[in-house]
Amino acid sequence: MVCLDVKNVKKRYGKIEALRGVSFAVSKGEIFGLLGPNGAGKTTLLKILSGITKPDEGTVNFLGVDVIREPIKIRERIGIVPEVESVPSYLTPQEYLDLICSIRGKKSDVKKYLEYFSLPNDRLARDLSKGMRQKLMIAAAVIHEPQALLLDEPLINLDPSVQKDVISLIENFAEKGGTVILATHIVPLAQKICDRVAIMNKGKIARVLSVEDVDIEKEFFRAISSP
Amino acid sequence: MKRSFSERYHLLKLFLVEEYRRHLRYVSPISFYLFPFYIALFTFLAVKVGISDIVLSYGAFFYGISVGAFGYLGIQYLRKRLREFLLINLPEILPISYKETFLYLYLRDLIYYSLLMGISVVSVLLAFSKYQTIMLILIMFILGYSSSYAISIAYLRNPLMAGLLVIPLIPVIVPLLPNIIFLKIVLAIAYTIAGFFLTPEEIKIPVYTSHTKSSYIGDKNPLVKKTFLDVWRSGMPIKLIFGYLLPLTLIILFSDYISTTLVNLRINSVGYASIFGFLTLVIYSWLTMVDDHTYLTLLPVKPIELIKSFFIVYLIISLCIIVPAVVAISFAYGEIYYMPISLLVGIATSIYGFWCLARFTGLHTTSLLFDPSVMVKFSAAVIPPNMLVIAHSVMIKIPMSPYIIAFALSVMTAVTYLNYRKVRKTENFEF
Repeated sequence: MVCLDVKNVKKRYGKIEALRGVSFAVSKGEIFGLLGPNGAGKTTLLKILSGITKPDEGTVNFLGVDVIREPIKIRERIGIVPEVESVPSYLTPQEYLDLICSIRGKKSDVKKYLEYFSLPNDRLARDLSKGMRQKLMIAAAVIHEPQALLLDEPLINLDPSVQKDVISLIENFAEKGGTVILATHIVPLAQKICDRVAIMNKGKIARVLSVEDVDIEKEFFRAISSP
Repeated sequence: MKRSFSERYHLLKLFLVEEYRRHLRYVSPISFYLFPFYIALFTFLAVKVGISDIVLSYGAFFYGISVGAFGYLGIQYLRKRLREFLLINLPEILPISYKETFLYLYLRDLIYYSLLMGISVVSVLLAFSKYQTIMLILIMFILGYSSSYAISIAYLRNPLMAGLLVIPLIPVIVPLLPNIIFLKIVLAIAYTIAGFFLTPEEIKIPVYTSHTKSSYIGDKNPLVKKTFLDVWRSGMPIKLIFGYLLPLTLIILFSDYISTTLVNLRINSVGYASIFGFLTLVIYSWLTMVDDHTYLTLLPVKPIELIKSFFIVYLIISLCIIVPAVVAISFAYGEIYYMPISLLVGIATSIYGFWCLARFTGLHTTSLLFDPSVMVKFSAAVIPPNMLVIAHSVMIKIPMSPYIIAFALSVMTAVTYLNYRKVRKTENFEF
């Protein structure tokens, strides 16, 4: 069952063509990787999928929602971990997660998430380490039990043991029927947890590959070195 | 580390280029290059009306104060609040001290902002052969600039020290002493030296380890509660004292002096209420800056919801300032019978200004007010009704004046409603 359908999406920032006609589809329960070098257009694409940025052309249907027309509605159903650190400075992790639940109108066991991610509830977010703040962003993305997750380099700043926890969280989420779109430039990560991978280069999808069939690293370098 | 003159010159040039490019990013190139023309026009009008000395010299003084506050702004840059790595951040990675970096900042803004405004002002004044005015505004700009530099640097060390440094400025703003230019020059030099020596060699960005008890956010109005927590935890109450109440007191003293001694026309409590209401607008600007709100783009929230939350917090803070200030000035001036109308004027002006700012600048007030076209639109919307109220408050005993004030308030109420509707419908505001 198709959960995300992206057709001919184009985006330009001034003279720079960030996306040059991107099309792909993702099924429910799939972990779909967007793999590409820096500047390939992964983050722009994720912003368009989450309704944060509007494309110049093309259509995006995500969980039955026309994302371009109803950007707020799609954000009710998904969880997002952005590339840039984004947590409010003057709230404790507990207050931030409470705020997320209030805005989303969902009751959730905040303490369970604080314990899972070993987050202190007596420090302001600005006083936390980068890794702690990253964990807080991941907790904020999953606390409302979304139908899909959009993750932009989610393992950045995390120590290996937390990376392992986050990877298992993503896999469990997909096993329960959640859809994951994961943007990364870390090839082994994509090879390890994704079902399929779209290799992006210069604002286009060069190839979409099933991870089981091929050596992603070899395909990745082949795709980005071709003109 | 010793640097040659050419190395220092090159560094200063880079600081200037950086400021120019940052400035251009906030405003369109057309607006940027039109700015000197607006200033020239304003100067021309001031000369023609015959108020160039007082308006331009105090204008230059307050302009200097606003651009010289980089001791405070510098810390915001150092904390990368704007998510940028700027040249001021160089001491983090290179062998250069904060003292030296802040000195470049001082020279950069002195040169950059003098040129930005100065060329057009001086050209117009030269055309009218007003050489004495040119000297006066130059001295007042440097005095405002250097005092702001020293006070904001002192604020980094100790707010009380900053408060003490304000005291020598009072005789300048309220000319209790004879207008001796030599004294102003000495004061400007003293502030510059104080600013330089007060700048620490090392600035440690505070790492807060104190424990904070989590508050209950709850389901109702979470953004309002969050904004109140931001206000309290960011230390805005202290900022209100030094950045609002202190300047407010100085303005009252200054305008009282001007109105009673120079023009012999005293502003009454209704007029002051209008000024109080107008000045509360700075609180909206602070609210938009208190935290980075980009995390809200990840949630099903529209910018208007945050603006509405800001409005509730803004209104409560404004009322806490306007009501006691109006009551105090009504008693001080023996105008208790004006108090109801004064309160109405103060509150209406504050609300009107809020929705004007929200309409023209959204959630990026500070950066968008750099855009001259936004500034002109905002000024055109806010200044005329306020001037009407202030002018007619002076003549409140004349039969028509209360009606004109009532008319101005009605117009402000109607425009507030239209602005609110416009803000609610606008979709291109960004967090």
